[in-house]
Amino acid sequence: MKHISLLPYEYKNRKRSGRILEISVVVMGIAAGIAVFIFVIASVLTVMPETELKAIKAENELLQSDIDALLPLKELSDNVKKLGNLVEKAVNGQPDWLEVFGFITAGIPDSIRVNVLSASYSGNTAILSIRGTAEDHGAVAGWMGVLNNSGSCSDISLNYSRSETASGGNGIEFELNVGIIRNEPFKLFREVPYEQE
Amino acid sequence: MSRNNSIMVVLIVLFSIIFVLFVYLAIRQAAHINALSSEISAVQREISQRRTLIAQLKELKTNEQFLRKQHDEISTLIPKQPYEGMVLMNLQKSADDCGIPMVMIRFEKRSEEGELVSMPLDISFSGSYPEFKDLLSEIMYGSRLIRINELDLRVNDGMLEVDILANAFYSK
Repeated sequence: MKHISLLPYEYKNRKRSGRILEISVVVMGIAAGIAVFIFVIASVLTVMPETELKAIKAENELLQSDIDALLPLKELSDNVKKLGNLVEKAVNGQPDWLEVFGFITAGIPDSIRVNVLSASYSGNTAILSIRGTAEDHGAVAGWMGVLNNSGSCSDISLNYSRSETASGGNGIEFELNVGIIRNEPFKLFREVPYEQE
Repeated sequence: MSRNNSIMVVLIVLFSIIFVLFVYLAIRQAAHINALSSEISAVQREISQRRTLIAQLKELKTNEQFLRKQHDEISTLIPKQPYEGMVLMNLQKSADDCGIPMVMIRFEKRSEEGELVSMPLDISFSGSYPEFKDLLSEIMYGSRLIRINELDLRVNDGMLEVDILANAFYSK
């Protein structure tokens, strides 16, 4: 059976428009409600990180005040490091002269007498120029052998070894150059283990 | 347009405004939460760094006495002024203590290298070898840093004559 509406077209049109408006109001109402709800949730969610931030900022400030109290010590430590570097620079690989002289004098045979000793250094090598007198050439050669076998000497060279008879003596005069290598550089501060309280 | 329809249009407009406004506000809140999270991470990183620094500083605090002593010693080794008088007095005292008289001291022209100023010294002593060794120890481990560059030892009439070319230092 066919359904025929006898209502006027304008009436039907108005009714349809009213229906659409009703639906639009409901849809927009729901949308606005959802937006408000999301905003409220977001606002609630903001509270937690804000509280956390406030707490950690307070902790950070507390730490900063602790640091401020201890900062002069850091300055002191930095200053010690800076001055320590200056000392290292100033010492400039200087050999331990006591060790060098101790080494060279300990090995001088009884038959040799040193009259002049000049010492300087380059890198980790102490350079000695030794002039003296000896009983004979053999004594000088023997000493050079001892120095050579010590393992601490380099560039041992004899400038001369000549009879003293010309100058009225009865032995020989010699001049010797020796390089003494020290693997351990001179330490101004002897390392002392620190005792903790 | 009927009265009902007019009300509904007003409501639609009102709801639209509320929707747009709260969506905007929600987006702002989300951005705010994001910014807060970033800030929290940054502050936490800062806290971690500060805790490390505090641990180091507390270690320094434990060694404070040692540190201060070290500072005083190094400051005397390389003072902030030339103090030639102090160099002279120290060497004179060392020489006297070791029994090897200081014959002469000459201060040569200074040179600068960065913060460090070198004061070249030419010093002469006269005595015996054991006294010279004591003096060497006094100079090398003295309160003022003196670097010995060259040493000249000569035996003259049974006496040991010693010439030392050295450097004392001060910082600018």
